[in-house]
Amino acid sequence: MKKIYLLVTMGLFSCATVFAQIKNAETKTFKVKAKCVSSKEIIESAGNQKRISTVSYNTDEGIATIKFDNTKTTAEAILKKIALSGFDNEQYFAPDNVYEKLAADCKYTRDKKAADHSVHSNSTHNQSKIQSHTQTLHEDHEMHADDKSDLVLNAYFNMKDAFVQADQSEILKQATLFKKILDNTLKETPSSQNLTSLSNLTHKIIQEKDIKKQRKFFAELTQPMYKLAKNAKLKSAVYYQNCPMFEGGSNWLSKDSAIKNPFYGNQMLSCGSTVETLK
Amino acid sequence: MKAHFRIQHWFYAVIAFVFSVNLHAQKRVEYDLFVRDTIVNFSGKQKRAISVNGQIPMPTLVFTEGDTAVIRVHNQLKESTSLHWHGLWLPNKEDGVPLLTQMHIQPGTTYTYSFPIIQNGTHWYHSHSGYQEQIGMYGSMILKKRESDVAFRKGIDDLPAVPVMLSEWTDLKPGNVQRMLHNANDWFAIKKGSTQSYAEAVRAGHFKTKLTNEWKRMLAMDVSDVYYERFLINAFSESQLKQFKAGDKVRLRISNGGASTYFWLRYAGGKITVVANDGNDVEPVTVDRLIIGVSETYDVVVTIPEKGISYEFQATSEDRTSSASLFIGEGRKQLIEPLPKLKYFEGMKMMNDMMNSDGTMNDMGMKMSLQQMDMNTVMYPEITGETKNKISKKSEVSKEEDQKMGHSESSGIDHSLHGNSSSNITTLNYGMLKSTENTELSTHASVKELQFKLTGNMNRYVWSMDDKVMSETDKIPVKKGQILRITLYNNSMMRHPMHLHGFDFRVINKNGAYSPLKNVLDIMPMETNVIEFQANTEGDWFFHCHILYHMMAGMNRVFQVGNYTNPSLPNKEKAYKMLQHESNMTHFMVENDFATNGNDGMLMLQNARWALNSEWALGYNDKHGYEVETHLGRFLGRNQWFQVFVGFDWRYRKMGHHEVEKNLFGKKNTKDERALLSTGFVYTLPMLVNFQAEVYHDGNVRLQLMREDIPVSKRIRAGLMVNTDREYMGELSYILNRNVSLRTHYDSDMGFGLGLKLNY
Repeated sequence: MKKIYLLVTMGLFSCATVFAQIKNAETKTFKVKAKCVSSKEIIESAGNQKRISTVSYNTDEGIATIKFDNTKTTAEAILKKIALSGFDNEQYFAPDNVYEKLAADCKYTRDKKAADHSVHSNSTHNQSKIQSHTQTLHEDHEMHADDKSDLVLNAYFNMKDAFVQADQSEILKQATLFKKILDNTLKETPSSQNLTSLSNLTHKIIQEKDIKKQRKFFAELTQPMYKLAKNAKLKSAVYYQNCPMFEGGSNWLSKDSAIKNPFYGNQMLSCGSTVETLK
Repeated sequence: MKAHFRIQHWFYAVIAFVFSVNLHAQKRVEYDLFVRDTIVNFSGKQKRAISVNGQIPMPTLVFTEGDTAVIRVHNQLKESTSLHWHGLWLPNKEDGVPLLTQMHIQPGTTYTYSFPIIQNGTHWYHSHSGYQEQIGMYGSMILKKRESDVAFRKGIDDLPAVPVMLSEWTDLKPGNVQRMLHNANDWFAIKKGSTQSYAEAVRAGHFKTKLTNEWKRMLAMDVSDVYYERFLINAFSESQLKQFKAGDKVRLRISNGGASTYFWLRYAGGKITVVANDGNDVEPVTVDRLIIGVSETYDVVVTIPEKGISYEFQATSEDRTSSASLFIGEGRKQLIEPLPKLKYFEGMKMMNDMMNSDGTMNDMGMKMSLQQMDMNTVMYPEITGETKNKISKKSEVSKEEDQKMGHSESSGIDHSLHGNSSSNITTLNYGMLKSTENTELSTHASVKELQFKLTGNMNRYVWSMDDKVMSETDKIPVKKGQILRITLYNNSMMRHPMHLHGFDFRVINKNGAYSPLKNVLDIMPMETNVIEFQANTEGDWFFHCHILYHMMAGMNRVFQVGNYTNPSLPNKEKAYKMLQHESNMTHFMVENDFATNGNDGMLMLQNARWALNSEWALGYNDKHGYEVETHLGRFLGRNQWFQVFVGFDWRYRKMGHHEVEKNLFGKKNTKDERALLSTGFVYTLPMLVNFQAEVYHDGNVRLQLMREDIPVSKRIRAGLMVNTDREYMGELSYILNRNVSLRTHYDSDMGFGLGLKLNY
């Protein structure tokens, strides 16, 4: 009995050693772009597959040595995995989104122009624009009326996006920002009823804890916002959109023609239609 | 990726010559198609497939509007075949549906299809016999627009075009796939990682969701049913179009020839401009991505932005298990980020909300239509963000990596923002399609209004319309020239690509007179859509779900337009009976546990409504006994939760000397052998517990509660049974592979047992 036990254990061990080896091994080297120290680990773990392939990356030379079982995979397949983890190489460019997500010190110089179609960079871009705008607002009081309505609209869109995402902390943040901009604008044109009602409604949104009620107030915002957009000289098209389901039909404004419904969060994202396009 | 596909008899391609004869500017375009068995290797295993002229996909057939097509099919298979011209307007006898528009093309014979080409656009063709489409019989069919056509669009119709045929590959025989689906075999879910077991639910913080789901008598939900080894574009997992350079615009003529897979289409080089759908021109619309339903076609235009880079055009299966890539342009390949995995429990939660306790779905009326309100969105991390309280290994690893990569705490927030901000993704839907021409129908024709409710039973894989499968319905008579206005409502849990033969229908959307023309309508759960067309061509036209496994399960109807005499189908009535029979085949299943205490097993034959099953427990000695119970039952009702049956029960068990069996009702039994007739019913209770009541001819009554296949973890299943004969059983099994599990059980008759359970 003991003997059998021993045999089994030995068998297991020998199996383990066999598993660690790569059969039909072929070795190739490729240039892989990387910069920071941690990239070595990411590249190697992206390309390593038990019994199939091992990758060792030389950070100084920027060269990956790939050893692989040529009956099970190809060097290209492994290079693809490496690229998908964020590192450009001889065969593949990493997806732009994945490259963008690399830590700042890991971002190497790419052999291609920066992509301008990235959805992500667009929205972050807009946000930073708003923030810098608010700063200039404090410093510089000489702004044109159109810029102001643009500012108000953009802040509204950010708040609307927060409603689309149904992210309450984001809603609070964006509503506060929106109110700040409204109040600043109000200082110059204190007689504007439109702005006053906007500011009051936004105040209610900030005070309210229940997202359903916040949405109701947000729906009420639409009419004064629509008036504001209608009177302003718009730099880009604004879409006046409708959701038939919320409160027996509610509207909102968006700068995208595609529907992103703010009244149900991510559950009924694309429900609704564009009623009017303001230009 | 290696080019796995080997063209076996490729020299046949040479034989397929095309010649044309000019006849008063009208061309006769002829093709010879040789259909043969072949061996392919898509996944590392050699499997049988069917090639045409040595090719998979079948050769691309190209015609120009106004041509006459002559296509000779040489059947060199050992089985019958047929070819259907998907999306084409043609005489009914050329439509290629065996037993409906023609007889089967027998082995060793040649059949000629001939019809005038009276339209243009991207179409495709495929076999309409058995499971042949799944194993290679699909190909593109390009009908070119004449340059003199007033509808010729400069900048679109003169672009270089590439046919793109999407498909999938499984190493299993498609007939076996169908059988497994009917038996609710969850092997595909295990392969896909979508078991949604209790253990996984607990880890994801969704225990209550899972409980509610089973309370509502639902099995794990998924966006598709079958696991595929490979997804393919023109029969390759990865390929490149090197002939295009930076600045080039390329028109992709995409057809989805998959058997059951919807594909997400995305492009690494920027946005996608959709210019046609189902072979009909639409006003160009630019989107980030689109989903192509089974058997739909889309024409899209993409641009190559930068010199020396080849951009990935990716087709990802809707379940996101894998994808196929086409790199457009020369040079280094620019990848696109893979779509993140589905959040299944979010989907389950949504399903729970939509499903009523009687098994129907909430009817939202026309509020939900045209793919505009995609409920699946709750499962898409790229739109609704990553799962917040996910404790899975992966996120831990990535968190560690983040820290290693020198991310500060704020990086976590950054990521969530990333996920959310990408809800700027524009996805195409039918509401955005606008025809380039006025598509309104004649106001003089009479209108026939029809309503169909799409129905289904996931557990037994019965798919139907108005709760009736094809074998339970007659053809629907329509007068020639009449307008059919059909309201379709999907009350099932899956989306269905409904395809109409012989006509394009208008999909009524906000564009009114310019509503788009289509021949496949994807309809999502709970959606209501209205389509209309004028039935101006006589004949029997098939209307069915193009998920081939749904079609074979009975989700079909036939519109009988006018009184058409079909020379290719001498005995129409008999042929239709045979077709009905084919659409409700009997499926077989058997399993046996070879255990230390005996053999437990069952055998089942079933179709849409009937089931014949026999269960046995065979001990190794007389004391343990031998028992066989056989039931013939019929399922009733929409959800098939109720089954009535008649049965025969035989048992032999050597009893002890003064041993007396007494059931819960005080009835006694002292006999060693008994043979009894019985009748009774089975009802599925919440939590999927089967309650069975059975009365025997000797007056004995037996009540039983049983729950099988409780998904404890990804591969562990549990089961419980108790009845009024004071018998009980508990089991636990571990699924090793598709056909084998390790099972341990305790049985009141036979005691504790450990065994190997084989199933087919």
